[in-house]
Amino acid sequence: MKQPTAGDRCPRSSWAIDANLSTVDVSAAYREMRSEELKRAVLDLIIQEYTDKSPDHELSIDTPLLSGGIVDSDSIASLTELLERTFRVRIPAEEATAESFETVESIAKLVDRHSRA
Amino acid sequence: MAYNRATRERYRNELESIREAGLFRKERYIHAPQGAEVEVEFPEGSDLRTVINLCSNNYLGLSSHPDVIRAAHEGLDARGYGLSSVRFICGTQDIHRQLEVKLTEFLGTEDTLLFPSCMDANIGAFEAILNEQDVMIADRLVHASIIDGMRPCRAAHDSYKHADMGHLEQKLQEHQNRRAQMIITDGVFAMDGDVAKLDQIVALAEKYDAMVFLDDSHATGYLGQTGRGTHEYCDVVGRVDLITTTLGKALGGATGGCVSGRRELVEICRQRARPFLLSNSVAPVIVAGALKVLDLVTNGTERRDKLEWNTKYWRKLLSDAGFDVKPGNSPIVPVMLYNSKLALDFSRDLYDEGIYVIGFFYPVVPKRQARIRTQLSAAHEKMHLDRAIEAFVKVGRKYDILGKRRKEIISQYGL
Repeated sequence: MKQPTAGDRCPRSSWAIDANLSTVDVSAAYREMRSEELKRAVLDLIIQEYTDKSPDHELSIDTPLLSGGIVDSDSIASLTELLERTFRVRIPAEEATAESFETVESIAKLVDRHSRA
Repeated sequence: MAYNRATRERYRNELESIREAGLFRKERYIHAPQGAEVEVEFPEGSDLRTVINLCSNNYLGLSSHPDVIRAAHEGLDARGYGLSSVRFICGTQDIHRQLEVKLTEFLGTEDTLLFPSCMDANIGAFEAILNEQDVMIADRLVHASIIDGMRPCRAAHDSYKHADMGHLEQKLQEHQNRRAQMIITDGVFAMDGDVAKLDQIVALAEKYDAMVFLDDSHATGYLGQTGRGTHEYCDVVGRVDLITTTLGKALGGATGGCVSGRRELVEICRQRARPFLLSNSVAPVIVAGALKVLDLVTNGTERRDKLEWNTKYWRKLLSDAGFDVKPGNSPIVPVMLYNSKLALDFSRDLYDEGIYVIGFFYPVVPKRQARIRTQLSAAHEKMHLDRAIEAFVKVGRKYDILGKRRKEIISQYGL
C-alpha cells in the first residue's frame, strides 16, 4: 500500500497544508472539519486540476462534472488517487463510480465518508 | 447460463440504448484498396459510390503502394502465411528481428520489440516496467489505449491538463519521492491534431529525473524533417526513453506496433509484457511489407514533403473559406462545429457530396467540442482537395456557418 508523504499535497487546499504538520493529529483535525470546508477544499482542488480560463468552466459545488464534460471519465483513477493523497483517505475501487464523481458535493461526501471510517 | 430469451432481451435493450444515445457505430464497406478515392457501399446493400477519402491514417499514401505490395507478396512466398506460435515458442523469424533492427535505426533508439498492435504495446508496457513505488503522469488527452494500459499497472496514477507544462511540473514536484516517474504523452494528439511540446517535456523530465513515454502513432513516418516523428520535430532524438508506435498508419497501414527505446526497458517488455507474450507473432507478410516501407521512408522525403504541402494547402483552403479550424501543424485538421447533431448532419451531407469524413462528438471528444476531423495523405492530389473544398463550402453555406466562430455557431445551434 502506498504511504502518503510530505510531497503528496494539494497546495491550494488549506486542509492539505494542515495535514503536513506533524504536530497535528490528522484524523482528529479532519473529523472536526466542517463539511462546508471540505466542499470548499474539494472545489479548489477540482478547479486547480481541471479548469482553464475557458468561460464554460465556472464551477460551483453542484456543477455536473462528468456529464458536464469537465472531468473526463478516463481520469477518475488519477483523481481518486489525488483525493486519497490530499485528504489522507482510502477510497475503495467499487466506490469510485461516475455517480460519486458527478459533483463537488458528491465527491466531498465520498471523502467525508471514508475519513470517518 | 444458457443464452435464453431474457438474456437475449437484455443485450437487445443494451444495444437499443446505444442507438437511442446516438452512439451506434455502423461500418461502411469499402470495395477497393485504401487510397485517396475509394468505392464505398453505405448504407449496406446500396450502390457503390466513389468518394474522396479524408478520414484515413494513410498519411504517406503507402497503404497500397506497388513496391510494398510486391514485397509483401515475396514475404508471403518466402516465409509463409502464418507462424502458428507466439514469438517465444517458434514464432520468431529472421525478418522479425530485421524489422526490429530497422525500426531502431529509423527511430534513433537503442532497441525495438514488435507487438501485434500499438494498442497491445500500450497495454503491456506500463505493467511490465513500473511497480507500486513508481508514478505515471499522463497528459489528459492521451489515447484511450494508454489509459487502458495504465489501469492494470500498480504504479500511482496521475495526470496533467492537456499540454499544460506548469501543471506537469507541479505534478513532478509532488511525486519527487517516488522511485521512478514516467511522463506519458502522445506525439500528435489524434483528435485535435496538435503536437506535444516534447522539447519542454523532455527538459522537465531531465530536471526532475523522470522518464518520458511517447505514443507516436500519429507522427511516425512523416513528422520531423526526415519523418522520424515528434522527437525529431522537437529536436530531442535519443532523449525519449520509450516510444510506442504503429505500422498501421503512415508506415503502410496494415497492422502491428512496437515499443522502442532504452535497451533495458525494451528487454523487460520482451520478458514481461503480456500482450507480447500471449499473442501470435506479427504475420510474415506484414513484416516483409513493413521492411519495404522503411526502405521507402528512409530513402527519400518526397512523400512526407508532399503531405506537408497538402496539409498547408488544405488548412489554407478551409481557413480562406471561413471554417473554424483548430490550429496546428499535423495532417489532422479538425473543422470545429461544437454541436453534435450539426457534426453528424454535416458529415452526412458531405458524404452525399462525395466526401468521406466522420463527425466526432462526445464521448469521443469532450462535450461542446464536436467536429469533423479531416486527415490528409500524400496520396491526395491538389485536385482532390480542390474538389473537397467545393463540397465543404456548399455544405457550410447550407448550415450558414462560414466565417463564424465558436460563439456564433453555438448561438445558432446550441451546445
